[in-house]
Amino acid sequence: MNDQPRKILICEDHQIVIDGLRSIIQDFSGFEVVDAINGYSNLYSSLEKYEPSILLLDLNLPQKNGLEILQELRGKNNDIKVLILTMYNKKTIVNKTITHGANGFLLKNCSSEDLLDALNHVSKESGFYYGEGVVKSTKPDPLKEDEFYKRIQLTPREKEIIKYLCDGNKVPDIASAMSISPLTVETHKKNIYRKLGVDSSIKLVTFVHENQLL
Amino acid sequence: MKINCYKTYWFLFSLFAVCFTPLHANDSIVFHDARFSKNLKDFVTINISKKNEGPFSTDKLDRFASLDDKRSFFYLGFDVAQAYSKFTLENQSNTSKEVILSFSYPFLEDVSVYKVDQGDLKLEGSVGINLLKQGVERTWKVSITLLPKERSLYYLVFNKSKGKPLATDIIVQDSDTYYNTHTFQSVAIGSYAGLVLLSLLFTTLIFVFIKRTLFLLYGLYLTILLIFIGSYLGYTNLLLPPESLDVGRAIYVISIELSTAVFILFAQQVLMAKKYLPKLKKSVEFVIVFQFAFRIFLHFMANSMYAAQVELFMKLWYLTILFLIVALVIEVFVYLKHNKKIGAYFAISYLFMAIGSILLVLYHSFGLLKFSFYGLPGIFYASALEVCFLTATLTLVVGQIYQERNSLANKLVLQQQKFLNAFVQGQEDERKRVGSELHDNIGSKISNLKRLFSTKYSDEKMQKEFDDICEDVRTVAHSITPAEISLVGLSGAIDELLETIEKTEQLTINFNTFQFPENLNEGISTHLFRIVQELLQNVIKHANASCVDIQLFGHKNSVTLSFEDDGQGVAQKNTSSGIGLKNIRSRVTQMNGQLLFDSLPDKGTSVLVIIPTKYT
Repeated sequence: MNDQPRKILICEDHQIVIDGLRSIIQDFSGFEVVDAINGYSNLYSSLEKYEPSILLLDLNLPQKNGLEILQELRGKNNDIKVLILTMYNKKTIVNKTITHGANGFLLKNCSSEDLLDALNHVSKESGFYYGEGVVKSTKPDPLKEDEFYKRIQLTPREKEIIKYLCDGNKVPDIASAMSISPLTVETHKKNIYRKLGVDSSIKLVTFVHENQLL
Repeated sequence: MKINCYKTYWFLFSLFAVCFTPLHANDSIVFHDARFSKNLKDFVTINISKKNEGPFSTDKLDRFASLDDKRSFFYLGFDVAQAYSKFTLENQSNTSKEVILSFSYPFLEDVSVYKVDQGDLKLEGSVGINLLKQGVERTWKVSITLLPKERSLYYLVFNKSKGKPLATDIIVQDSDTYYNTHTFQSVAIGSYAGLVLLSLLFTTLIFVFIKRTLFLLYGLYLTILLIFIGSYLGYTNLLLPPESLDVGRAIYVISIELSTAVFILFAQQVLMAKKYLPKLKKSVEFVIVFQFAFRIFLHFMANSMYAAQVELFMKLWYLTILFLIVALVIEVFVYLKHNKKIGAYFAISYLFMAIGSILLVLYHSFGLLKFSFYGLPGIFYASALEVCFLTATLTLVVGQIYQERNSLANKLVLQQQKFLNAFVQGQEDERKRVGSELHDNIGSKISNLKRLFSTKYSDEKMQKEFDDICEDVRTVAHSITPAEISLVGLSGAIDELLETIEKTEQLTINFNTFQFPENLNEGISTHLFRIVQELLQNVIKHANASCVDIQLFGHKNSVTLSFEDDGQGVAQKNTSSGIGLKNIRSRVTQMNGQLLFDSLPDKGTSVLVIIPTKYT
């Protein structure tokens, strides 16, 4: 079914990349670059004008970065297929694009075959397309993601200060006992409260006892 | 204190009494019940002898020559050995009266008062350091009691060694007036001592803080001045045992000598004579050294030579002092010409002392003029004023120094801070520029090139080569700019950083965030990222640690980065140095934050960075 070529919009701030992509996609049957824009400013006018079905989106863009554009599009319930094309090959970035609703991730140094595969994939299938060499996001460590587990991971210094606090010591005494500045102790204490979700020394003691942190 | 009209007049009179007082009409002092205070010199003539005539008696009177002297005080020249004056006291009241003759000069050698009693001489009292008798008060005094309506003739007899002039006031007062005056003097002297001691304490403190020898010199001067004034006012007569009263005079001589020398040297420094009058300064210093050495030599080592030529030496000494004072006055005026503000205070204080010294020298050497008030010598008031002014001036000088230093130090710190900030900012900008250039421009171009080639030639090797170049460019670009901060936020960027580090280093790194704001501004995020990067580098390079905890906390008005390692730590002293930590400090300052660093050997290192977020 190649009656109508699929319309592609390129959003990329380097003319040479745009030119390169245009010339490559020209050779692909079934795909057509309808417009190339440099960034966020003329995105919506172009979308309205050409109604493209695929957006080749760079991440590093002048006004709004690719992730923000993606987020905004999905926020507006725009379900245009978005294929990220970037130099960044980082797990965190790939993960972010997935959570923000991208359809595929390509590296800029991909081959033309890879590009064609990606275009075909996003136009026909629903799964996320990983380009050649893109780092696959591993399953997040369930233990690491667990808020509670995270909360009770105390550093040695924090443990030391908690011990003093649970013994009923005041900040200046702890400071002189540990020979560090009172502000340091105060900051650690603030951090510990934030970490354990408590707001008083009594709650701290209760929490520490209930969870046997020491 | 009660002063009647007559007395006030007398004090005013004696204040400016220069040597031209009218000659006395007769030699009788007549008094009633009222208080009185008279200058004995106004009533008597001095008769002198250049030889020591032995014990005084009325049949030796013709050996003395009458001295036509118009001074308002007793002055016996260099060559006088013995002198006497005759006076009559008449008590017109109906009660017996105690009359006191007080002498202002504390180093009288031998002075006796005889009463003519039915043709015989009766000793009423004798004072002086040669008599080996200690007075109970600081000034010498002879007390005479007159019966009601008594009228008697007295002889005042001086014995002195030749070569040393003697100048003294002798005041005749009733005992009440005497003790009143005495009380006033005690108060004045006490205040003076307090003033000097306070100044001494003050200047010592300043010296401790500022460490300028000038203040030490001033302290030394104050000490010697106190000794000098003390001995001049007769306190040595009280403090020394009777058999060594003469030591008092030696102390007086040494302290006047030393205080002059230190005073002049101090003045040289303060008045910056080195700058304005280098030649005069040299000659002044030469004269001081010469004078001091010479005087000490004569007094203690070549006493016989001194004794033979005392008059010459004394005149020489007085002349050198006069020279020094004149030199000082010149310096004061030159200094005043150059330094308008503070200079005026210095000049005033020095002028007080200079004038006081001139008066003192003229009084004691040639008996030229006298300046005293309430029985205390002019030099006493002059030095009090001088100490007052000098201390005030030095305080001003210290204030000035501090202000200058503070503003200079502030400027320097600010400048340094500016430099460092500019440096860090420049570094960041440059990194950003190079990074994005590499990443976006060159990287993109190479990728493009690769695709262009791959459509025409499907050479595996070439493709691989292109991929390697792309990877390299990317790695380099990422190592110099965390461009993804804007994409993934600070925690994402740190995650990435840790991943690359954990690949190569044997290091467990725990990284957690606690309510850390996702949308933290990019400037702060970049700074914090760099700080983490820098700290990790430090840990890898120096700490020998196996575990690192990095935590980011979001608080109400601030964010906190906590960085702990279990490495060997560093001694507290070395923490402030090191380019890395300096860089971190600069970044923290730029964010108006606080850097808390604590580390103990073998107890690891903990770094806290607190950044306020409310107003940024």
